Amino acid sequence: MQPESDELLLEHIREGNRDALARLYERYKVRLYALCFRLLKNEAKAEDAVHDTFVKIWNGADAIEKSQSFRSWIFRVARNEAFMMMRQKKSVGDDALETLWDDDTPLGLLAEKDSKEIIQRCVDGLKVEYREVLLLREYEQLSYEQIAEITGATESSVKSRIFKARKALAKKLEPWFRERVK
Amino acid sequence: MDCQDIQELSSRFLDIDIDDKDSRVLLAHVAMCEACRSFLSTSLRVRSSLAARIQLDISESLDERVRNIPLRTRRTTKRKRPTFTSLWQNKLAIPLPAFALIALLALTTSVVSIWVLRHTEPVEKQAATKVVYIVGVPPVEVQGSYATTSHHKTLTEE
Repeated sequence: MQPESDELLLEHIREGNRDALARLYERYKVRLYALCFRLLKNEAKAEDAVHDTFVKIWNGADAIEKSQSFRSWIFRVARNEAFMMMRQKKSVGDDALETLWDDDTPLGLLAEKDSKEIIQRCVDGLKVEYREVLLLREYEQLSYEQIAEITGATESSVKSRIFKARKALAKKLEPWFRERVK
Repeated sequence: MDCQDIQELSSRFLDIDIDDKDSRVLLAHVAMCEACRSFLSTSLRVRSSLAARIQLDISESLDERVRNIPLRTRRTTKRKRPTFTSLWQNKLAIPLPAFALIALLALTTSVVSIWVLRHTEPVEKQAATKVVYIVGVPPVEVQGSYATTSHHKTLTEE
């Protein structure tokens, strides 16, 4: 049996079908939670962001245009919820873009020996504007166009941010990788 | 192209966003340049590391909270005004050619009815001009007043 499409589930949600909401949640919970957790770096807040995303789906199913890509829409809602929670903590101003790092801990101080953990720590240390586009690209494998739709940025800005994030990561990780080869 | 341009190309190369010509330029440069090769290989390592999904534990309380959303929140559904199409499809559901035929028949019947009504005289008018002939009874002139028909009166008086 073929799984129901997102659009069909959304149609059922519009009709008030609670099971459809549960099925949609099962389909997206891990990916949305992963994105929110990576953005917020806090489990409880990530759960709240995912919960609020599904509240929005339940209450606003009628408002979703049928022509819209549901996948992009749900990621945009989750991302906006996460950003809203971040704003409650601190404001993200333009001046924040001057540096790419939120947490610039020198690698030598990190205890992890596993390269995956090191890379993850470095990605988590990136400023959220760079982290979110890199995660959507590498983790969700979304296109520039979809990322632009989710973040509300232009495609060229998305490309530029992804490149800057990779460049910053490469600069930080290269010495560590070189050291390991020795 | 300098190393900055090549590294920018490398980033787009990883996202499959460059054409064959740029790919050739990039690969030729990377083969010779240690810094750009290092950038590309590190970016590839980051990619493979992020693509390998980590295990995230989602608490059961979140599952419960999301499943209870429909019970806790009152939906504010906007009632859509029924459009002609939806009304047609949901309520009438008659094939269009059949509907057109019915409409044409109804129109023809109406036109014919109106024409017939206009070209025939009313019944009262016809009755007023009706001439009644009584065959076999000779005309009799009756004196005085009478209430019943002239034919009966004539017979009784005789």
